[in-house]
Amino acid sequence: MEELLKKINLLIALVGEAMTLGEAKTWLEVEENARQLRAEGHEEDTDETVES
Amino acid sequence: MKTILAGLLVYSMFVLTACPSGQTLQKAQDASAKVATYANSGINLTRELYRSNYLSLENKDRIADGFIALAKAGQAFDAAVANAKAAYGDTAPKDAIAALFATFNQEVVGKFIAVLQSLKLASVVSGNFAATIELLKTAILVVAKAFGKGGSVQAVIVEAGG
Repeated sequence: MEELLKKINLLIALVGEAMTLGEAKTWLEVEENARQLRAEGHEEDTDETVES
Repeated sequence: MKTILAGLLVYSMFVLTACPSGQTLQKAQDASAKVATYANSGINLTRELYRSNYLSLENKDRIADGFIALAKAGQAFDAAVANAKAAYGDTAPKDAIAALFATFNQEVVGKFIAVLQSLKLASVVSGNFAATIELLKTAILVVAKAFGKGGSVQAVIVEAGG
């Protein structure tokens, strides 16, 4: 555990910025966000599907 | 993205020291909820890397698929915890808790670490991006240890290539 805490301290020092915890999310919201990420870059494919 | 993780780690350290020693189903729920939030941060980081051209479309898709699988595993874990809660109340027998912890390690923590490892390998990351990936990995490890208090977490990390 000491090793882990040392690592955490080292990593915090590496980043060196004040940070805050992200907004809490449910797994369902996580899945939705992941699906949106998956869809990025494929918008043209979707447009073609809609047109046809 | 950079604004997320130091506080997250401080919070995790707080959790590590503040949790009661008893293993409860509430603890399992809390651990799952924390990792879900970290997973969302990982998705946002992946999006940032892709939009900044650090990550190809193909790799972004593969990693997004990994996050989708992780989210489904998280939902399945939450359902298992809810079932146990219905059966036992808040404090389940040790065997049930051990089974949940094993599932959490394999299906949630293991998958998450593997996705992060893929992200690290697939992207041309440096500086704060690379540090953020490491921070996320460490934060997940901290949560898993707080939940399990066992030595098996490190084995999961190694198995996942982390």
